Amino acid sequence: MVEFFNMDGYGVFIWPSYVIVFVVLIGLGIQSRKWLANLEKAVQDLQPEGDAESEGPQIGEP
Amino acid sequence: MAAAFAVGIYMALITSPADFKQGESVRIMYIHVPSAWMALLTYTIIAVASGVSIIWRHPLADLAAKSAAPVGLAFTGLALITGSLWGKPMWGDWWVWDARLTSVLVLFFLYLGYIAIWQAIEDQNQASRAAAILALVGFVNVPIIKFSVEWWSTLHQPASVIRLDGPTIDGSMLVPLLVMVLAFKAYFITVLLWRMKAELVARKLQVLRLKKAQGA
Repeated sequence: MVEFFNMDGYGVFIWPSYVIVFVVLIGLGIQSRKWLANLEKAVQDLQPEGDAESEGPQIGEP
Repeated sequence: MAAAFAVGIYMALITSPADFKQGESVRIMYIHVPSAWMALLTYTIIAVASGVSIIWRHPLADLAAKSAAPVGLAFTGLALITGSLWGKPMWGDWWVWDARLTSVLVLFFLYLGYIAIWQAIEDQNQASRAAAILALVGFVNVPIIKFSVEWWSTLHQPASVIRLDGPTIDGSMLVPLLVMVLAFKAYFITVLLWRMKAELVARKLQVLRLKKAQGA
């Protein structure tokens, strides 16, 4: 097991690479999901009841 | 997407062999190369979408380009960081002003500039136009990155997968690499769709707030 993590002495370069990549990718994924969820909640709070489905996103509106 | 990542990581860290020259350090390739490819692909998508936005003024193209930029910035940053972590044991330095590295650093700043334009200009139509022009002008850097290892004498190794005479990389390394590329692509599409939907909802929210303010 120690040998696996040591990776022939390159472990100090390999493991940080993988950790950084997955922290950044997962972080960006979570941020994107949270951003979308917050916006959807804000729209829901502003929209009159029963109107939620009738008005789709208005592309290109100012 | 998660399955592709799981299989890719398993193959990259466990089943794929060490390189005869670079030893175990070659395992960084399985995250460095997909990051770098996705950085270029994302910028190409932004440039094409910007062209469509300028010529046909299609609002969805605009939205796609804007949504893709932070993901592209992340891929470029990761390519630079993992490249640095791979370069240290192989070249003896964290950074060299090599044509490939420098042109990728320029790409990183292009992404930053593109995002900064969207943030800095309040009028979204003006921001869209300015950002699209930067994206199109900056696209000249994409072929420079791709061919930098052929045009100049560089420390960075030449292409070993996308070549006219076929890949020179062994199948035992090519398969895990392609699985990781597939996983990165699936990730990109997923996050891009989330961010595009968020942009659409943000515009809808803006309209609703405007209507509410006018009604009050």
